[in-house]
Amino acid sequence: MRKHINIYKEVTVDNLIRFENVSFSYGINKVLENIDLTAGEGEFLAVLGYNGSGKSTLAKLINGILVPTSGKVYVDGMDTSDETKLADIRKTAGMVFQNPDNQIVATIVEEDIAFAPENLGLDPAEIRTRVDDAIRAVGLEKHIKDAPHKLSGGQKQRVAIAGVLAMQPRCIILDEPTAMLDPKGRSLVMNVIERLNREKGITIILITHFMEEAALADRIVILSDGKIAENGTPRQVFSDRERMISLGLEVPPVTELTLDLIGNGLPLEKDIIHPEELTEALIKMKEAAV
Amino acid sequence: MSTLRLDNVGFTYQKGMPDEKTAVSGVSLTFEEGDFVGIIGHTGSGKSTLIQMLNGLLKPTTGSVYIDGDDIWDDKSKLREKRFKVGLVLQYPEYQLFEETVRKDIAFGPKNLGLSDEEIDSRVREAAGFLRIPEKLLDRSPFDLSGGEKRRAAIAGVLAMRPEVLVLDEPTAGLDPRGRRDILDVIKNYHEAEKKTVILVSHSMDDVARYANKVLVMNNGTLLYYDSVGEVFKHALELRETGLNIPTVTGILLTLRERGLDVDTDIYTPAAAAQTITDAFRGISG
Repeated sequence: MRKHINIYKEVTVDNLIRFENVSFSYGINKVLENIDLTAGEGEFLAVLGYNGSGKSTLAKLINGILVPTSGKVYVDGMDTSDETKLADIRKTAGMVFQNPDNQIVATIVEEDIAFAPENLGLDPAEIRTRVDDAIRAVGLEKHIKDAPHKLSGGQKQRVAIAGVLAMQPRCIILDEPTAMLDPKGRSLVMNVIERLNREKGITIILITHFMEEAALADRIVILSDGKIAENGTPRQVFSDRERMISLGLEVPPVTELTLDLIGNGLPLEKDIIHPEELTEALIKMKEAAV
Repeated sequence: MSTLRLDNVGFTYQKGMPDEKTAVSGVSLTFEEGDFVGIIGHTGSGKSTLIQMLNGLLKPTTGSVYIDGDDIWDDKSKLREKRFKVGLVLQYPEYQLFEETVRKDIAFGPKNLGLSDEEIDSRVREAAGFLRIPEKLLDRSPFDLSGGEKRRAAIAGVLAMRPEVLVLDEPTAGLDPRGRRDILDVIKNYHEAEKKTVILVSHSMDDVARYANKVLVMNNGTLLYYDSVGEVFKHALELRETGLNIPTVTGILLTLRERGLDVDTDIYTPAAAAQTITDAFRGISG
């Protein structure tokens, strides 16, 4: 079982990603309004919100696919609206999208992963090392010579992550990377994301509709109607079930169960978000009662 | 009265070729009228192949599919008519929207049945009503709708055919939590109002537990379980071994039981789980 409870993580740089009063419109359609947001180096940030709340636009603003209509986005101090910085920004912050089929360009897994480093003009030995490291990080060593179309959705998505990793980014933005995967594919992709964050210290910005995935983050930002509606730890955010529902979201099933138990009079903390925490708390209560 | 029965059904892709692959084999079961069945199984378990045989999109390479006692492939001249009894909503059905307006899109199927304009209109209204598509959206282009609305419009197109059995392949994939709840709630309401069979393919055990009364589990192309929700989730440990997720709360109850707390484990909704845990504690202190 995974342990992800109360791990204190040192965040070294305060503002690897920084939004300063950012607004964005598609024509007259305002998508984001006055967003102030930072992500520190090594932080795992989850972004939640209903469809159309502005999440994907936020993601695309980070690595300069979109530039703000007003305000500024900085990546490691570089202004995303400065075109001369764009290549460096994208080396720093890589992006993974929802549909794995749209992100794979080559006919062999290793060639796909090598695609971006080759375009950086690195020497072949360096490219080899990066590809090998990346494929190992996502656990697909056995498939390095396979054709991507023969892989499952979850494996393809890990190839896409490896392709971004080969750029050695400090931040990876993932826009609903598990939306099209089955539970097994989802959990393998989430394991990779967590490991990259905890072991390699890569900043993760995860856009998701799955509350259990967001529960793994250090911090959750909820967008609603183009504005930041909540910004706090998973515990703070999920312990208010009514608020979550009013934002078009839900709480993880374990939190729902915990809140029901509290309603039945059991003395539990209301900010339980991981199944292991609840079982531990209940076993402790049982031992105290016997 | 409409039942859908499978007798020893199997399907092999590329049959007779060097790369032939058996996706489904030896499935025998009956979908009773009015059941709400959740189909689960991981990718490659044969779920999608199975449901494509339910309405004749794929012809079984072995065995037979019966609707109301008739083998749907017996008399090819009647295949079309039989197929209409089973409405199939494929994954990401909104990709199949193509008409100028939502109204025309929903009307497309009934129109091909050669129904009168009046009848078509009433079916469009009925289907739009079930899917909670407001009147004002009906004359808009389907491409102007939100993701969730598009999907509901696509499902309405299938309902407008008034199928006896409605089959949906992962209707909530890619939607946000509210969109997921909306879709599942309209399907539930349709099921309760019409008492017709609904078959829902889902990756979410929590959703299946909440909405279905029966669960069908596919594993490696064969039928692993087909029973009431409570009975199937009694096999939580076996399900876990085959790599399937079990409902979150069932997993918690199993751990609690292993650790010596006297709780029921054939439970799959948070509310029921809260009850059995509370009862267990009353047992200790009382």
